[in-house]
Order: sequence, then C-alpha cells, then structure tokens
Amino acid sequence: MGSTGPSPPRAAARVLRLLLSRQAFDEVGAALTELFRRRVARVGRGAARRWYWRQVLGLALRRRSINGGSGGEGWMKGSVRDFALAARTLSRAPMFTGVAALTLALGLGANTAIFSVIHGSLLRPLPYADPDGLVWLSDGHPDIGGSGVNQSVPNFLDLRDGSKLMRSAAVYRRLGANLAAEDRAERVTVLFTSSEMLGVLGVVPTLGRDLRPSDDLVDAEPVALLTDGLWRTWFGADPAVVGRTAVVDARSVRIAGVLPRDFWFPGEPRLVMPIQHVGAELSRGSRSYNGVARLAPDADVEGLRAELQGIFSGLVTSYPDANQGWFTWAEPLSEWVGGGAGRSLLLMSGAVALVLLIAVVNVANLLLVRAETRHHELAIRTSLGARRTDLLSLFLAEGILLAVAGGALGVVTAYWGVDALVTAFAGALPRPDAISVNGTVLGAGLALSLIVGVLVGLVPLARIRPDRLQSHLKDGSRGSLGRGSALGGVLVATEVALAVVVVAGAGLLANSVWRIRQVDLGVTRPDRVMTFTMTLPATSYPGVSSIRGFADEIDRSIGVLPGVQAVGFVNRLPLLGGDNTTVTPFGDPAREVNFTSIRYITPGYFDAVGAPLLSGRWLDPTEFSSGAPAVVINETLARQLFPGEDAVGRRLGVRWVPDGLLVVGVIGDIAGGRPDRPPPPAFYLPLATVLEAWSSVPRGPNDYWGLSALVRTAVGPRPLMPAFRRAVAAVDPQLPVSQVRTLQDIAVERLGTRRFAMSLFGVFSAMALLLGAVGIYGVMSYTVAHRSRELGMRMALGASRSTVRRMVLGRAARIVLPGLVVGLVAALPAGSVLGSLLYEVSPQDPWTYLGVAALLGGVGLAASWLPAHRATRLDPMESMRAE
Amino acid sequence: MPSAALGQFEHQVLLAILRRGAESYSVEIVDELERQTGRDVATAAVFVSLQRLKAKGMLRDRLVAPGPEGGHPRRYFSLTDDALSALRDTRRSFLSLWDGVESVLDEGGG
Repeated sequence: MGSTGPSPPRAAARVLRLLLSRQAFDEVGAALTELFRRRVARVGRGAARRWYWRQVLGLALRRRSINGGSGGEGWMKGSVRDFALAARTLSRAPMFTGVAALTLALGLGANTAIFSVIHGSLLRPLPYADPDGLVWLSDGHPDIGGSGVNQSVPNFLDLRDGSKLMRSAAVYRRLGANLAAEDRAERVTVLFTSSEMLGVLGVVPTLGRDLRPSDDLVDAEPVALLTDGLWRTWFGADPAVVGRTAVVDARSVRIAGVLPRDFWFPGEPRLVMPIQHVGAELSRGSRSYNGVARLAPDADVEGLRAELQGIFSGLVTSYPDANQGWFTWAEPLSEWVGGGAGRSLLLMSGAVALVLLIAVVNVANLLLVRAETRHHELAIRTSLGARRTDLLSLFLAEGILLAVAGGALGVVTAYWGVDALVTAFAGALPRPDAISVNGTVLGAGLALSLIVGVLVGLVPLARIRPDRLQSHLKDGSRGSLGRGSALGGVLVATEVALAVVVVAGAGLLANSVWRIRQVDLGVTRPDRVMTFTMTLPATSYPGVSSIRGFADEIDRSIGVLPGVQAVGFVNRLPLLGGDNTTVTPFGDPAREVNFTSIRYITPGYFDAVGAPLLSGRWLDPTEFSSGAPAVVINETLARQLFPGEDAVGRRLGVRWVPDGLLVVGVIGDIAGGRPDRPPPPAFYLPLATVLEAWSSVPRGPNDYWGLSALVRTAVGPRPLMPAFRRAVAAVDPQLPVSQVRTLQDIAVERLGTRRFAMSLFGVFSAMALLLGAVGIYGVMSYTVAHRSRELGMRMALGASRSTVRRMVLGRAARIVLPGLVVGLVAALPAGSVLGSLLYEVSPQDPWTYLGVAALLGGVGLAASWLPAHRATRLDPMESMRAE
Repeated sequence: MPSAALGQFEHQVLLAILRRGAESYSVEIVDELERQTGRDVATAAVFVSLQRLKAKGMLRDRLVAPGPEGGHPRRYFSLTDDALSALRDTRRSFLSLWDGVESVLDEGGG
C-alpha cells in the first residue's frame, strides 16, 4: 500500500516528525508521502521535493491546529499558556533560575557592552554627508613605519592643485590653544584648517557663516567657529554671539559662526579657525598638517593614491631637501578614524562571543541536569496527554524566558560596563562620544537573547523521550543517569575548551604587556615625577628673554616647595614622541640620522627624569644660561653617528646651527612614544640655545612654545599639584595648565590599545574561569548525588575515603583533561590572531599555554574538590537506604 | 442552521468530498481539489479544514487499519446531514444572488 517508491526529502520528513505528534504524523506524514509519490510521477523529482518542503513549512506553521485535533486552539493562546507555565515552573526553582539568568546576563551583558563600543567606534557612519566619499591624506617614510605622518602645507597645495580625482580638499592641524572669553580661560583643542574644510565634510554652520577663502589670507582678521557645546557652555547659547570676540592665545578673534550640535572631528576640537596660510611663508619640509578630501564622482581611493604619488614624485624631484625618501598616501577617512582600535575591538568581540558560548553551554548543562531531575513531573505531563511538541514548546518557553531575563539584566550591566569602558579607555577608542547603549544595540541584544533562548531550550529535549517517560512512571526509576551525565560531561568539557582559548588570549596579552613594562624606560621612579604642559603663545611671549624669564621664575617658585627635589622644562615629555630633525656628524653630511628626537631643556631636567650619565659630563649652568651650542646625546645616537668611537668631544651637524653642536656627554636611552620600538636617537640641548638659534625665524600669529614641566618629589607628587598650579598662576594668570599626569601615567597610557585589550581579555578570562568552575562543580555534584548509592556500597565494602575521593576526582579529570587538550589545540591558531598586539611573545608561547593549562587544571580540581569531599562524607547505610 | 459560517475553502473541501460521492481520505480530497481548481493546494490547509469541519459536525470520520500489504492507517471522511444542508443553503443563497446577473456578465465579458 504505497510503501514503495521514491522517498520524500529525509531532512524535511525528520522536521515533520519532530513537529507533529505521533498520531498526527502517522496520518499526515503518510498522506504527504503518498501525494509526494504521485507528484514525482507527474512533475518530476526535483519539483516534487520542493513541493514537499513547502508543505512541511505550511504544516509547521499550523502544527498546533493539526496536532490539536478537535481542540482547534490558536497559536497565540498556546504560546501564552506555554510562557505562563514556564514562568510558574521557573519561579518554583528560584536558585536554578537565578543562577541560569545571572550566567546568561554575564555573557549577554558583556556582548552588549562590546557591541556598543564596536557600533559607536566603527560601525556608526561618521557624522558627515556621504562619509564614504571622504579620504584622509598623509605622508609616509619607510624609516618611521610607513604612512600616517603629517604633511606640509606647500606639498598639500601642490597635490590638491594637480589632482583631478579630488573634488575638494582641505588641509588642517589640531592644536591646543588658550581660550579666554566671558571671564573664563581654558585650554581647548582648535581645528586650524583651510577654509574648504566644512564644505568637504558637508557640514553647514547653524549660526553665522562658514570660513571663506578671504579668511585664509595671512593678514586677514582672525575668525573662529564655535562648536555647539562651547557656544552653550561659554556663551549661554546666545544667538547674538556672531560678531563678538574671544581671545585665543592672547589674540583677539572674531566669532563668525556656530557649528551644528552633531559636529565632530577626530581629536574633538571645540573651535574651528583658519590656518591663514595664504601669503604666509610656510616651509615645505615642516610636516605638521594633514589633508581631508572628497573624492570626485567615480574616483576611488586606489586611483587617487596613484594619482597623488605621481604628482608627489615630481615634488621629490623639484624639492629633494624636503621630500627625498618620502611618499604620499590616501586612505578612507573612516579607516583612519577607526585606526588600530578596529582590530583589537574585533578581537574583543571574538573573545566575548566565546564567553557567551560558555555561558550558553553552562545554562544548557543546568537545564539538562534539571530535565533529568524533572523526569517525574514530565512523566505526569506526558501521561496526561502532553506530546513531545508540547514539551518542546515548554522547554523553548523556559529557555527564552531565562535568556530574556538574562538579557535584561545584561543590558543593565552593559550600561554600566560601557560607561566604565569609555571612562577607562577613552584614549584608546576612536570615537568615545559616539558610544552608547542605543536602540540598535538593544535590538541586537534582544535578538541575541532570543537565539540564546532557543539554543538553551532545545538542549534538554535531547534527553527527554515521552515514550520512556511512560515506563519511568511505572517503575519509579531515576531515569537514564549514565547517559545524562555523559552528555553533561561533554558540555562541561566544551566549556573548558572554550575557556582555554579565552584565557590563553589573555595570557599572551598579559605576557606582552608585562614584557613591555619590563623594558627599561630609562627614567627613575616615574611615579614620583609630576608633569604638566603649558603653551606659551608667541603673541604674549614674543622673544627669547620672555620665555626664559617665565621658565626661570616658575623653576624658582616650585623649586623651593617642600618635598620638591628637581624641576625641569622640556619641549616634549619623555616617553612620548616629539619633534624630530636630521643630524649628521659635523662635516659629514652623507652619514645622516633621520628622525632624531630633539629635546630642549632647562638645567633641572636630567635630575627630574633621573637618566644615567654614561660618559662625559652634564651640561653646565653657564651653557644653560649662555645658550652655548653644546649637547648631551643618548646612547643610540652616539652609536649611530660615531660607531665604535667616543662621542664626547665630537660635533653634531644640524642645519640651523652653522658650526655644529659640541657633544659634552652621553646619557642612557629614554623610551619613545612607541612601546614596541627601540628608543629613538635623541639629543638634548639648552632651551636658551634653541631660542637663540630660532630667534631670527619670524613667528606667525598661531605660533606658540609648548613647554612641559617635570617635577620630581620625595613622595607621591599628586598632593603638591595645587601648589604647582598656584606657582604658574602667580607668573601668568592667563596661562592654562593642561595634561596633568605623572610620568608613570604616561608610561601606562603609551600601552594604549594593548592595555585596553589586555584588561578586557582579563575580565573575559575571569568570567570564563568562573563559568567553567560553576559548570564543573555542577556536573560533579550531580554525579556524586546520583552515584551516592554506588559510592556508599563501595565504602560499605571497604573502600577508603581516599579511594572514593580519587574516584570522583578521576571522573572530573576525565571531563577536564579532554577539554584542556581540545582547547589548547584550538588556542594555538587562535593565538596568532592577536598578531600585532603581542610584544616579544610568540603566539605559540609554550610557557603561556603551560600556565593556562595549569590554571584551568587547578580550577577544575578546585571545583570538583567539594563534591569529592562530600562523597567521602557519605554514610554508606544511609545512602543505600535512601534508594 | 448549524454552525452557519462556512469558509470558502471549507466549502470547497465539502464539495470535493461530495463530488467523489463516497468516503474519501485526505490524499483523494487533495487530488480532487487540485483537479477541480487547477491549482496546487496547501495540504496543511486541507488537514486543518478537515479537523475544523469535523469539529463543526459537518464531517464524520472513520479510521481504517492498514491492509495485509502494510502501510499506514487512513482516516476516511464523509458528509453529515448538517454538511449537506449547509451546502444546500449556501448554494441557494448564491443562486438567488446570481439571479439575473449571469447574463450581464456574459454580455460584458464578450
């Protein structure tokens, strides 16, 4: 009777079997097969198979009506009933429900938080018109790690004029400036730009006007556009602000307009002002600017890159002094903004997904154990007519309720977590202001919760067979313990394996950060050195004497404070990048050393930093006061300029000192701005020397002298900071003090993304370990509880407590060890994903993996110790009677 | 009139059984519907309608055990008196509605 012939698609038939009650399947399934066979004869196999799948889908959608027989109950009604029942069941097991929901909250919250960060930093489009058409322009030099370096204005203008693939382009730089208006003074970041910038970005001022070409002229009246925030906080959102004046670096500036509320630019400038470059004498070799351009229609970044490099080759030929060895580069603006954080954020999302997976496995395991203990309840339900599909609905409803509760808790955690993340790592994130738990994030979180709910809901079904439940009710047995705990063991082993991957990542990163921190920075006790920065505008500090007078006066007033051991000034603080120049041995221009860090200092600098003198002597007081052409160089520069010779007594050649600079001493290297690179070559010369040498250079209105102070104190310097501020204010009340931090803070900040990645991986590892421990504990407790009869029997027959403990721990080891092995094998390739975040640690570093294995083994042992101990306390008689 | 509301598809299912003139099981009903309407019929809709019609008292069913050659049990459906009177009512009301309109359609459609 139709029992032969082509078979319908097996997978579809299986789905049907899963969805329908046995009775419905017997009838409907058989009819569908018969119809399928007739159809094969009529329309061919392929079409018949597609038809069959469509029918299964249709039946799936109406399965309740079909299963429900004459009841005819609606789908909605059934679902509401399932959820109500699930809610009742869960509320009767508050401990279980709490642990499961918290576990999911941990995983979902961490994912929501990381997704918020990724969404804000990388996915949310930049707040400009057609942001995909924007490119960022930079120069590059192979000696300093490729592209991404500043450009010079003359080069930029030539590139822009020669390009056909850029529709428009603007050149800019960001600088700190001292803003004074409305009886306030503060240091703010200013976007100095050519007048085209807002047009390139597609931003229109909400009040007043945009910059215009006449603003670019060097002798034009300086104007400024306020950001919305500045306009509101400083000017009370006064609509009549346009036309008023503010003082920027002691220069009166007319307010020309107000920017829209959502205006944003990298570095978060609060003022936009023209560079005033037209008609100014700007050096082609002085690279302090970058370009932003809008691509012409149909142009792409690769094409533009080729075009610009073609033009730039001509500039190398025409201006070899300024351009030899350099190249020029273009990249999408969004990629530059995302920067190095993109990669580590994606890594984070990988790690956090693993944590969620561990949480899911953990809850699945909990549900599984619970399903086993619920055999009796489920058997009663089945005998009262519940079908497999009804149990499925119930489990799904429980899973979804748990996950949604966990997700809701997770969102609360995420709110808090995102705040904490942004506060702690604002510097390492591309757009901290754009990061929030918003609608998109919540939607994604909800979707994730639902998926998780379905996943954890489906697992217990693997263990429940209504047909067996019937027999369970008859003989009152405890169900199939062996297979249940075996599946639980597999789940826990999976958790261990996943945890190994996360912990190994954290281990490799921690190892890298530790190694970076072991690198000698070349400074002594950085925690005792307070630093702060002041920017002296050329308008109020026009000449050599005024700057020296300022430094001397502050030096004197801070130097006498109790606890202060040394005070020094420098153009750029140690452990940061800085001003570079090219030097040669004097008279030997062929052997030049590019990108030599130049630091001009006051007498207390070396004492404040605590760098060791290796040979020669320190600069002496007369050299400092007279501005003598004498320098101290670091070990690296000595080695590069005078290999195998004594550098002391030799001369350095630099372009701006005709007779060269006499080397009087060699000091130890001090680390530069890049933690993964060796210290740069450097030389130190008296501030006075630089001021003398550059006194003939005309200073423009935007020019300034940046001076940072270093104060070494006998104890922690923070309590003295107010006194330092007072000392500065006593000399120049208009001068803001900014970037207040210790050298130690700088040492930590320069770890940047690595520190961010390491800290987060650390948190995720802790979660993974905790969840793993809970999983192991759970499955071992369950095993001990269910084998109490057997264990009791063994003890009654003479097994010692230590034998019993060994048995239980042995069982734990059989779960944990395979998980460890699988995890280690999986972690080896995963480790290389960390790639550039690692420092002098191989992604396959054996010690890290050994440590991770030991750690997880230890956690496994600890988590199973309590159940093992409980097993040894069993009373043999009692445990046998209890059965 | 019992459970008056007769959906269009339910109407079609009842007619299909009526046309076959005897007890029919699901496969035969689907076949008959597809033959008469010239379209694919969703089997799920047929099963749901059969159950609904049974609940409304318009169908009676009989489960027939598989024969000696094996296979599955089949559920055979036949119309109850309620179904026949519902069909009759529906037909009558449609005919009176159609009265005098058919010729207009014929002319207009020409």
